[in-house]
Amino acid sequence: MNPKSDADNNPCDRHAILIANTLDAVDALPVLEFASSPQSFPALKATLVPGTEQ
Amino acid sequence: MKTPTGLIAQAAAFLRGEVSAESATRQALSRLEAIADLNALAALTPDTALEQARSQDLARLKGKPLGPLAGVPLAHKDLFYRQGRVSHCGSRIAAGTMAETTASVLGRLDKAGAIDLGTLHMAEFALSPTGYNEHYGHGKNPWNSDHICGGSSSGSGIAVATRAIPASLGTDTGGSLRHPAAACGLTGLKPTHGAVSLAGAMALSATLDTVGPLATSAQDASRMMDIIAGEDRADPTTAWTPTLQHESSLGEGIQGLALARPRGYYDEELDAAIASALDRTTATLSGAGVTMVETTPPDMGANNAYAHLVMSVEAATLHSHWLRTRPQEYADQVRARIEPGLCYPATRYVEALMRRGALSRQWIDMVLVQADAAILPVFPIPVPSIADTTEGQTSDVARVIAKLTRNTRAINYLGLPAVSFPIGFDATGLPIACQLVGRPWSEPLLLRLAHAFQQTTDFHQRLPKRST
Repeated sequence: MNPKSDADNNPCDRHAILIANTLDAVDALPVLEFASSPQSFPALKATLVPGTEQ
Repeated sequence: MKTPTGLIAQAAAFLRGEVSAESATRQALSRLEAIADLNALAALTPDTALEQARSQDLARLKGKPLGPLAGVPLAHKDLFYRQGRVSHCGSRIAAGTMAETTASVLGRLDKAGAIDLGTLHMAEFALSPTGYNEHYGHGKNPWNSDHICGGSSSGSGIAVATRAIPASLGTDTGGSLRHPAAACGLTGLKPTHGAVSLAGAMALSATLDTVGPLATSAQDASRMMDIIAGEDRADPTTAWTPTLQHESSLGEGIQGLALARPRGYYDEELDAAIASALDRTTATLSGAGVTMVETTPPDMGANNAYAHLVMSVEAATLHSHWLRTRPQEYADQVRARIEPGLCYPATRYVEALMRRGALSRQWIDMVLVQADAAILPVFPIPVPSIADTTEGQTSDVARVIAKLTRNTRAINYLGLPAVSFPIGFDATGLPIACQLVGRPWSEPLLLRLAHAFQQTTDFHQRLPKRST
């Protein structure tokens, strides 16, 4: 039996191409606004509740 | 008397006394057993189902108030927990897990009088768009059993398409309701994130997970949504969720609505027969008074990337112990979808959440513009064979699977509602589907458009070879 290579053992090496492609795709976006919040989507939803649209 | 196959029709037949709940339950159990070879089932619970049914029959005899699904037998994806019942979540690792609480959506269906027949097949930990499951067998398409049934709510798709049951709950994190709806010729609704409680359902990626119905028509899906949607204290993501009227709004008609047909990204890699079916669908809706507009979507690269990043990070967090201690108990294809989440920096994950609102707004502004909804393909390719998604070169299999989710997974990151329904059949007799996507909380409007289409076409009524 052959010993496993580092790439077999390390998931980050094993998926290196996918991870690099993912980060490249999001790096193409404009710089993140300083006022951004992780609650950005709930905030959007709140503005679109029927009867309260802005 | 033979039970009608539709959800609302079954409920009406019970209310009129034309069929007893016990008879309907026994018939549904027999129909489910008859499709076991399609790998639709996880575990049926006939004794408790018949007990529930007899209770509904007694309530009717005594003239007690009955719920909107009284006496209707249903079964659901094997990730909705019920206290004292075992769930496998399609896995070996979680097999035999006894639930300590009951999912809020199951509680709501119980209150509506529905009978719970047991649990249905699903992809391992809800991680496959095809119905792939190495442990319990791949789900098979009732229209052609050599083809995928769509996943991960695979058993729900098979059981409803064969008319064994009239509707079923599934979940959708990257397309897992829309895929079986598209592959099996059903109507499937992926709600706005937060419109339906996730409490008591297996989490894959709480930011992207949604719970919704698979049914044979938009009208039946609307009845299900009226019951399961709305605020639930057990799930804070539903806080401030508005009360939406799904079934009663179907009658409002679609005259004067506007529908966007985004080109560019959504035309790429699109099969000619699917493109033609989309053209015919827009013509039908246009004939019913809907204004069509062509629009251009934003670059979908970042949206798709964030959908993958958020899902894999959240799933890897939940699975990190098992990934370390029991990695060999995952199917390779499943583990490979979770593992990358171990590798993304925390800042990238938070960045995905911080950009979500703006990217959702951008998609709405560019795709919908002033329109009420957009029409998109679900699959850009014909429903593939099981062999196409499991055999041959790994890169070829990965390419096919990536195509199946290219039009669905970003919609979960964007948090938008979508309804998928059949709009034709290809030359081999397999269903073709579209999805209507709208602004948050537009589920009633999306169902209204699908219902109007189904009033003038019969694609949703056609039965697969393996119907019961």
